[in-house]
Amino acid sequence: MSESPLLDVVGLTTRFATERGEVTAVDDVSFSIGSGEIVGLVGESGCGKSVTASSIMRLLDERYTSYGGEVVLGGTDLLALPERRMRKERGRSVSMVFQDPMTALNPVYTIENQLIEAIRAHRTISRREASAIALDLLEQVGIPDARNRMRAYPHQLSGGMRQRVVIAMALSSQPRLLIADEPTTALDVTIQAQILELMLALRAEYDTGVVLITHDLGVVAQTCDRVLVMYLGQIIEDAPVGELFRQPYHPYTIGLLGATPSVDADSADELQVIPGRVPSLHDVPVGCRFAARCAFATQQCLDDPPPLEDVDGVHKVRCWNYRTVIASQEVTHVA
Amino acid sequence: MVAIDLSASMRFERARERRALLRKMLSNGGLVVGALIIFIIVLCATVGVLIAPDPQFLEPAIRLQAPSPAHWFGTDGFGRAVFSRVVNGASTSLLIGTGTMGIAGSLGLIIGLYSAYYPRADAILMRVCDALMAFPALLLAIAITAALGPSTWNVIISLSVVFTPVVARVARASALSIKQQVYIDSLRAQGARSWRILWSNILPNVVSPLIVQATFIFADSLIVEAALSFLGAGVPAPDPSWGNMLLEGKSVLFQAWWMTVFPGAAIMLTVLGANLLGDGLRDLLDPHQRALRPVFGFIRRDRKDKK
Repeated sequence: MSESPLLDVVGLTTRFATERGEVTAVDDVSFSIGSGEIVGLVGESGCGKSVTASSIMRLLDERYTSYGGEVVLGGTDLLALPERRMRKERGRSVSMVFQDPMTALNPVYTIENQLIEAIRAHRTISRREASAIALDLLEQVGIPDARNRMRAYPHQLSGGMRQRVVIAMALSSQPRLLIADEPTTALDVTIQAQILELMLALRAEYDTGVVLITHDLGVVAQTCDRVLVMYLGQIIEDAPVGELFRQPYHPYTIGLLGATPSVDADSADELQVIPGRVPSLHDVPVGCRFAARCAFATQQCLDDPPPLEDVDGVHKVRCWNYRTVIASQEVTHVA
Repeated sequence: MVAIDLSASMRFERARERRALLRKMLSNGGLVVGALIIFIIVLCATVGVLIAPDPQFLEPAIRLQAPSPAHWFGTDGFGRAVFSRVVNGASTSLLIGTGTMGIAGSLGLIIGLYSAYYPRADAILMRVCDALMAFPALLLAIAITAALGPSTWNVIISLSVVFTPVVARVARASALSIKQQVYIDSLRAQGARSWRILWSNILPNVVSPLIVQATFIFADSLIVEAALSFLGAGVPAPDPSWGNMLLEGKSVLFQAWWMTVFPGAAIMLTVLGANLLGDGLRDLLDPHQRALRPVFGFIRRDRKDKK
């Protein structure tokens, strides 16, 4: 962590022009990732996780999108690059694994052809050489009988196999940063674990930095080094993974953890639900964005937006009353 | 070995899918009948032309003769064999139909795909298409052939101008829906070049709805060609075309019904065949699931993605 970070996102802001006016989908998001580090980006649907990812890759339709801030990857600000240069960075410096492996592969081409295409996007080599690399990649992501599977069409593979192919494709040009947008959400639980293990192994091998987007806190606990919790476009808590699970500071994080079912919980315990619902991006509250749903909200929360406060050098939280929150947590722990 | 089993099972599955596809094609009555009709017409236009007597051969002594064993479809006002002219008209009609289908199809495909992918080009190209589509097809075709002069190739050119916007619309619509697919985003995330995404990844996915559209263009262009020739703006007189045969037959309709009935029936039959074929193909390729059912490689599996 001491070396200069691989990716440094500083004040990333993404705005969309919509028919009902401009909305800020990602608001002043800052974080950094070192080589080989896995950072989890957590939050419920619509909180801006995926938009953050797409903003780093600059995949959004730039006619309706305006970016602010900086996304510095290995010394270059990706947001400042012209599209032509940005295309060259995609795949080679930063790559992405998508949520649904069912739709992330082109149905008309074989696995081999798609891998060759991905490899040759950044290297001038013959199809034969690319094919050898493709085979190698498939073996690395643990596809049995890779030589034959290469000639299969996507629909002939299972979901887990397809996700392995998608990962192989994302890694084909050995990017320094991999963004995985809910890579396991569409998979069976048993396959989920395999895919996560695969990602951990590949991370170790290539020393790739990983942004893991998920709404599954179990996945976070298993894989991540650090967690960012997002709510309505903002990062509200940023902590090392053990720290966050041991002592969450933000009421929303506490709510999320409480809303996670666990096998060993007493069956009499009901799952907690966070009351209320996420406000629309069209009318974002003036003060704290979570205030309306928060049990700890005070007048200050409704009036002033809280800053992301650095509590102890590793743990940051965006809450006016986190001390009260912690204190109340300790009470419940004792009780 | 496990490895051998896997590849064998994959081969087996592909063979099974191919058989299932064949069964499905044969069980589709419209498709089979349509294909059969078109096949017969094509046979007439190719082999028939070689066998049938010269359609220009004049025999004024036997003019306006009713159908008989010597002249199956009778003779026309100049004593030419109507049968031979209908058969030769088939090759003219097919040339115009396939020519239009080919030119309008490929031009429309290029314009449609291009405007689906590049919003700025879209704004211009689609307005041009709108303008062309605002004219009734026949009127526009008459205007263009009138300007170019009547000849078979000019008919093809004018019909291509008429039908290109139709194909472009269809191509654009399906390309836009393919463009939304995750695998296109995924390609962009891998740093694929725009032209690769467009021409080698979106294109094969829009081919199936376009094949269906092409058969309808074929049928439509036959009708418009017949109308053009009937109005004297199409294939010029000595060359036989179904449309100008109707025109010749019109003045003697009550003396020689065979001069209009046979070319008319030929038009009807061909258009019917093309439409049946098109409908059959549409059922077979099912445009509602085209993302999962491309034409290339005949990948097929009845799979309703459950989410």
